[in-house]
Amino acid sequence: MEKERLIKIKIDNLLFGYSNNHKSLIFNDLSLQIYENEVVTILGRSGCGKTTLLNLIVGDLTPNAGIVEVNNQSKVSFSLMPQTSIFIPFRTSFENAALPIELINNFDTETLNKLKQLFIVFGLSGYENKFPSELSGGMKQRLGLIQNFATDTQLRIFDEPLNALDYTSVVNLTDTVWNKLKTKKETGIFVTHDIEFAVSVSDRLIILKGYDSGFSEINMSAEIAQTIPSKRKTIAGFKEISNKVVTELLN
Amino acid sequence: MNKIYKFIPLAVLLIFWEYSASQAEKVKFLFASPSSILKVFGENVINGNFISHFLVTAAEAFVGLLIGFIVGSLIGFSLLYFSKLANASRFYLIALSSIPVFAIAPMMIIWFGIAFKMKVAVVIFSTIFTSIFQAYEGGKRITKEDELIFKNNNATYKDKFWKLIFPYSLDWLFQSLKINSGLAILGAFIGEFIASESGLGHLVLKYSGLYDVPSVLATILCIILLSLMFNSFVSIIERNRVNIIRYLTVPKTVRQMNK
Repeated sequence: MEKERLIKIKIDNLLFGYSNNHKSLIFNDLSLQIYENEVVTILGRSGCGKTTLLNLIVGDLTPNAGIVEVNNQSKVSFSLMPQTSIFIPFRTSFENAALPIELINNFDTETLNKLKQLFIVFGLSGYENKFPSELSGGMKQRLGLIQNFATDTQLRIFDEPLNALDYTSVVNLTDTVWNKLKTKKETGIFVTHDIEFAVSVSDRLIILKGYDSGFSEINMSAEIAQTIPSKRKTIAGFKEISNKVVTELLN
Repeated sequence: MNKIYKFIPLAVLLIFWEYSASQAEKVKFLFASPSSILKVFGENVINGNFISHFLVTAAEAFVGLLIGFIVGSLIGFSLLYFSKLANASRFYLIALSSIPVFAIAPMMIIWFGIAFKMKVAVVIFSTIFTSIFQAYEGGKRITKEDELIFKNNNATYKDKFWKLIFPYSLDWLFQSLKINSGLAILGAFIGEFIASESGLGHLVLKYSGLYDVPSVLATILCIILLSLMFNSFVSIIERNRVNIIRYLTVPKTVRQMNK
């Protein structure tokens, strides 16, 4: 029934700890897959290894044992948005957002016009000429998202992307980000503490349990997965899944 | 109004100085008087004597500073890419930089003669080490988080230097330029003290040999003016640094889209 899904990220029997001491292991024999075009959110208590897992995926850390593979390649093309994006103080918002485009040497007028569009889409138009020091925390997160979506990539990773924004902005931006990911057919990984956000945006939730216990996962029903985030709350199963997440986290 | 307050101590000092000089011959001989200094200063400026010597010292300091600062900063930046070399060279750099300029200056005569080249060499020696340290430390401050966007996009070394390391260490470079502009004038002055036929250092040496105190102090006034000139030059660049750096590191198409 379900059609064959391509594996984007394959983690097999992963063993990792920051020191060789067996007690300090963060992951012991962890195996999971993330599929092509899937939006996945990683949840878990503080210190359970969420950011460590991201760092392993992008290749900043190397596993003690086991396999972490993206696209079956060793060199990963990805885009990572950190909890707090850092911008170059000498560049205006627009120039900061254009930085990834400059780095891949693709700054023609068309690409830059698209970037201008992104300022409108992410609700930051009118601030193109402001310097980062003149932006609020929420505006910086919007700018971080614009910078992130300035270039095309196959894998986007977001670490707490919207935690500095107010409720309505989060709802609007979640829709925008979700739309972007789905129309561009990209794989997205989120890390967050916000359960409502997680259930709203993902196709699947991965709840890390910390050492040895591995993880548990919750799949969204097809109905929820195909609905735009802001509308999901009206669907019957939404509350149930949120409760399930809470139960899993408390376990 | 605030600006006037700044000059009150100076005015009080000058009045007191002038008054004491007019009362006692001894004071006048040892310390001259503001009016006599000003008179000598005016005469020497008009007959072009000070101007030619001023330009000699300014040229020595400026050329030496430019070379010392640029070469030093480039060495500092390149050490960022070779951490082993940076660790190994740290000890030698500290040892070399601790040599007093006065001690090395006589050697400069042996190596470079007594003309312009020698003074430039002394100035380079005075400025290069601070430039190396400042550029290296400035670049060192860049964290993994700052680099992230460059790593995400597999940026080239050139882009990483030009668009990240260079702009980020700018504050340190300006600090370096400010310290070094003082050191450069001092270096040129020391060079002239050791051996010279012209320059403000040469004049001070000559006039003090003649016990001509007003002329010595008038020459010192020239040196103060030279320092102020260098300082305001650095300040002008510093004030426009955001636009300069944008002009240098942001492609024109991007800057124009911004409008």
